[in-house]
Amino acid sequence: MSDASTAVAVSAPQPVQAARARSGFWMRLFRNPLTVAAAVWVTLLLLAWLWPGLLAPHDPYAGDVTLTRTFEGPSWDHWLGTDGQGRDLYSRVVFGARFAVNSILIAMVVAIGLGVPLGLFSGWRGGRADRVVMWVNDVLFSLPIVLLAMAVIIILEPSLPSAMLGVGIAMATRFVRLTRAVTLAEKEELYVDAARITGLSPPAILRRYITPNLLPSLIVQVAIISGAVILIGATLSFLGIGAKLDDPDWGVMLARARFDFRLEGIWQIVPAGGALVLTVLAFNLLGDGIRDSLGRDAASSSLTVPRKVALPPVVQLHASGAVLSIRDLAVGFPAPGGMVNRVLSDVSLEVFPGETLGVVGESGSGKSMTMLAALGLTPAPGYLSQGSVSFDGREVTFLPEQEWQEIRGRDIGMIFQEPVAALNPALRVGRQLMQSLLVHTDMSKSQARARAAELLAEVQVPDPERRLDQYPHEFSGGMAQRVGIAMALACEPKLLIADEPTTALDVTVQGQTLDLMAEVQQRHGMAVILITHDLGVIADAADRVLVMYAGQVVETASVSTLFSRPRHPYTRALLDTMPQSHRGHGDLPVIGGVVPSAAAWPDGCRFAPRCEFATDQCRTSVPLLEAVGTDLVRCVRHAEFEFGPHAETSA
Amino acid sequence: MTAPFLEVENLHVHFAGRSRLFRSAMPTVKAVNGISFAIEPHRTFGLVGESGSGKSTVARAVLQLTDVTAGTIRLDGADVTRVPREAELAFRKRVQAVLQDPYSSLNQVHQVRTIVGDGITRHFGIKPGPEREQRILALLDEVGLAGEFLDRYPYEMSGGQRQRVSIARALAVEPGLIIADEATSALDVSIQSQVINVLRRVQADTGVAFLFIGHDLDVVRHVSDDVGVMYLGYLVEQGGADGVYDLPAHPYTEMLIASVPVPDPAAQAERRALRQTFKKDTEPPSPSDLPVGCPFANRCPVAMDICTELMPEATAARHGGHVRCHLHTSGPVLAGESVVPYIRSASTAR
Amino acid sequence: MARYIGIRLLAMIPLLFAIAVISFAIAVAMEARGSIAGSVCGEGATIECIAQVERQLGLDDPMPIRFVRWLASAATGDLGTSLTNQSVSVSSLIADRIGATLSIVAYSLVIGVAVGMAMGIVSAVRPGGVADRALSVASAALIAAPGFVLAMLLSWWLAVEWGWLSPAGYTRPSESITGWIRSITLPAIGLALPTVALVQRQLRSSMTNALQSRYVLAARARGIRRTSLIGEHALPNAMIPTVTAIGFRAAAALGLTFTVEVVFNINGMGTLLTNAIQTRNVTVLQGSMLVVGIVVLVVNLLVDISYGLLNPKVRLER
Repeated sequence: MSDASTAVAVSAPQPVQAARARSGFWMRLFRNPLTVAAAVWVTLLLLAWLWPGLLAPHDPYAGDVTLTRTFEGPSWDHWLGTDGQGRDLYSRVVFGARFAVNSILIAMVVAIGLGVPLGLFSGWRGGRADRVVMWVNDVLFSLPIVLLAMAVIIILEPSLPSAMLGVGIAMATRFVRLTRAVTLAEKEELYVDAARITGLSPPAILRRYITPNLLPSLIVQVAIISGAVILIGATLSFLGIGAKLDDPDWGVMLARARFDFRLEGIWQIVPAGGALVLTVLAFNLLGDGIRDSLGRDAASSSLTVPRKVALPPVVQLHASGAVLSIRDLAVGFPAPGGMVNRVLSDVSLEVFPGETLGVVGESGSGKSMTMLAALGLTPAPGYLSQGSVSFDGREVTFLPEQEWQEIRGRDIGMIFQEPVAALNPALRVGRQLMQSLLVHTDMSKSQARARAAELLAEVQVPDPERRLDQYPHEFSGGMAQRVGIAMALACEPKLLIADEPTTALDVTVQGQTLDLMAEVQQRHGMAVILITHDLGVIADAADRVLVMYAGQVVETASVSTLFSRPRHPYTRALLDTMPQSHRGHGDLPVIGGVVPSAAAWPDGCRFAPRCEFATDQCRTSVPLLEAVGTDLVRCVRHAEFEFGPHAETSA
Repeated sequence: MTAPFLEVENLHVHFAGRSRLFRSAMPTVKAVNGISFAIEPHRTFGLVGESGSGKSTVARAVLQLTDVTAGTIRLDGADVTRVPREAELAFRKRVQAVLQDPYSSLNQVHQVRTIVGDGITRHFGIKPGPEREQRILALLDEVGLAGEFLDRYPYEMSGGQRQRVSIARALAVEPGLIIADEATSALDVSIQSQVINVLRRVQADTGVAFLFIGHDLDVVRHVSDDVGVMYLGYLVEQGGADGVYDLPAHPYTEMLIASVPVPDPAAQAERRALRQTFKKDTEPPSPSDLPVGCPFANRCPVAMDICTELMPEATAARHGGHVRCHLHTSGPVLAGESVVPYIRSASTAR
Repeated sequence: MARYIGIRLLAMIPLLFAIAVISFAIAVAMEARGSIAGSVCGEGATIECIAQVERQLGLDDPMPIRFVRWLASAATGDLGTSLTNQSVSVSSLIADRIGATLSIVAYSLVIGVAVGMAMGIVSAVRPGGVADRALSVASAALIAAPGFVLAMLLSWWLAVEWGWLSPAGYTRPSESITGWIRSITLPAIGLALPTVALVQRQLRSSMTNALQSRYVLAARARGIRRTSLIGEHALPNAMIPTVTAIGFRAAAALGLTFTVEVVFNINGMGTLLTNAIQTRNVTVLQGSMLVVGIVVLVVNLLVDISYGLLNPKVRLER
């Protein structure tokens, strides 16, 4: 068991995120070639707006008096050809930028000027003022923008500025919604409470806390709405109620193209339409680019089957008789710079029929990942990079998804941490329960329904028939977890994996859930793997224990040995820090430092930096060593320690 | 005994359901129903209960983040039930908080310097500069963070470090009371004890009073001098922390204790046995539809007829505090003794 | 569910009122800027013309009374008469035109939603894959292109080059069903292309989220098949925000169809409104605003109902 894994895992130390977050924005923004192209186009647009003469060789209004050079195609004189009056289309397109940018300016000043203050006010004040503002806003929001603009145009006069005033008012409703939504969300954040508790005044909170968080989404919206403004401006000009008929406005040019709807006139669509489409596209791409650079990359969907990685042909010896046996499992995640973070390495375990194996560790220790990887559910982009898994005597490491579907749910049941989130909110609970039965057995629908009711009754859900027709949101956490247990039990599996089944539940419900699981196990005699961070839960329910730290197994022992004679310094320290272990009110023993992230795991013993017993020996990698019998411990000095039973406990 | 710094008397907080056009009015949610307690300087009062018990609402009421329906809150003898806007700043200087979620309780866009320094500027008028810097460094030192943390943003810190920053932020204004609302619940076990120790040291150094709110009775007992047990807005039992823990006089307190598993298989086997005497298939009533009698009656293994008819009054408990349970005045008349033996014998009798 | 729909219907009443106020306010605002009659009758207006227009608008009476009267007659379907041609009632003008507009919008929505959903699902199943990237680029381009430009290109290419479909004019369904479909197919496709892109983007993002959710992981852990994960588990949840987006698009399409109508020489609401604006014929605009507003409300009602069907939380809450 070499530790080649850690050699791969070593990458940059804890990245300095501050610098990354600040300078990283521009880097990320301009890493995308589409965003760069969009930025270049918008720059050109602004140039054409400021100094159209620089870019345009001809007067956009002056036609050919002789009317001989009309409807020409592109030529050296006229790069984009001429229109029906012999005017240079390229110059008209360049001058069109004036109308486009002016449109955006007018509409945006109106939209932001009205929308943002109103949204801030509405969101912050809440109550009746908010309801009135939002009611009016929603009515205006739902009407077509073109129609609202028409209303303003008929009131004032048909012209581009009045059209843009109308568009601005319509777009203000978008900014009201956005600003209000952000304000409402921020207002609920604990840090706004914290700012009030510190004594900051509401204007200060709005300015220093809400606005900085609003700004990014506002900028994204401005870019995208700018595109929409140009589109609607062109629409109105096309209809003849925007820019004047003679103006080199893109919409007007398109109207002319439609007017000259003959084969020779149709070319006019290309310059004006092209400029229009490219400009709108540029604004949209810029908006998307900014949004993507601000947020994290969208992860891939959980349906993506993890990449298969060629394994060294190793004949693995799996313990005979084990329901599930995992040997030397490792899982890697691609990290920046072509590195790989090995979030798991050298994980081995087995569980036998009728026993409960407890897997305990803090967050990030890899305990949940072990189970997902073993069941072929490694979340993308992670992948199994080493190891072998056997279920019920059958090698299943790289089983095709179809074959896994047969096993999962039928032979292996799984229970999740957040019971309500693990149920589909849109489907009735009964249907979800029946689904497992219909997929894995030959039951008819009515049989499945009857069985589903039985299952609910078995997990002590009162009134099961009625509950079958309810939706997940009608269940409390405790009741939803009972449904989770019922689902896992549906096909009488050989193995039940419970991933922190009690963590999200109230204390009194936790106990009930543990009792229920124990009862179910006794009745069906299946093997159970219980994943938890709580050593108390281990003491309550496990027969054997596996302690994990930083992606490795550090100790395995029977439950009585683990608590009476912990062998790994981490196990002992963990037991000591629990308040339950202490009678008095004095200082608690602590483990210094923090749980390191996968990118920062040390080369040798991963606990060494926090361990009070660490010596130079611990700087090199440590294998799992045999302690006594089948008990294993990953500590070179374990033989020197004699940790007694940990501090006294009260009952 | 010194005069209490915070006194809460008969506090009620109800949230009225808003009636809307064409919709039936939502029923009033009775989150807090008449609770009283006091905290002296240098002492910690622990408030424990499950989700929906109203413990966080108590914190929000004291912090002026939610309106009080009835009752009084006094700070150093002065009424602060409803602090007028002009007095708010002075009030904020005396009461601070450390909130639950270390991730959302710090604004991502500010550095530690600003997060901690804001309060100093606001309350002492010390503008950003060397003097404020010195103060911030001293505060960071107090919570066990090195000076390099000054320039850090929240996303560069672990949960435990963030909670320390929250504590430093609270200490910055030199308050008389700090409310810690589930301040350690979201942390890993090995980090939780670090933060608990920081809180203890801060109290020893500054004499600040703590209102420590949590759902884990073992943690709350460890940090508190006195505890109150809340259930559906009622304080069902209160008293010295060890007393309540060792001699629980309310069946709900006993249920809470029995529900927290301890890291010791033998001791846990006993707790489990006790836990199994409680009812399994009943859920707590909704705070918008509280029963007439004791709200715990439907889950109580030893409930009597009177329990569904009448809310019990507070009576003295053996541990020196109070309990609201009929068992002490009628039925077996336990007169404030621990309820554990009675529940055990009742369950074996069944 | 019946109760939910009933409540939604009742909630439409104040919205309807609000739209009526907005429609009525157009004339009030115009009047505040100068005489409507003057601008309708044009330069050298005759006294008769001005008197006629002012009588039609009832300008002599105080505003609240005018509003109530306008509202009362609107409730009976009487939206007044056109200011430029007194023999024609506004409601008959609109009735004559709105069929074409609504046909095109509805048809375009059917095409847009069907194609967009298919594209969105394909994208979401393998985000970042070849199909996803191709479809996303196509969507970005389509969103940027206004429907009428697409319609012009389409009509030029298909109708002129290939002699396909009728390139211009509108055939009523009462005249010929096939003729009707032929006459609105091209305009509907032009209008549908941006809809396709919008639906694809929204569904892609909400579906990707749904596929990453805990409940899909849990369903996978129960051995639920891939098709069921996508169709039964992820899609209904992903449709909830998508339905809202479709509703917004329906309202927007109602405004954008005007240009497409112009391209295909279809006498719909587009030409009616454009002419009304140029001649400052405010009664026509008011009436159209009210009618379009009612259509939007009906669309919103349909969206709400689908929302309730998809989201049990919303449906059961009230």
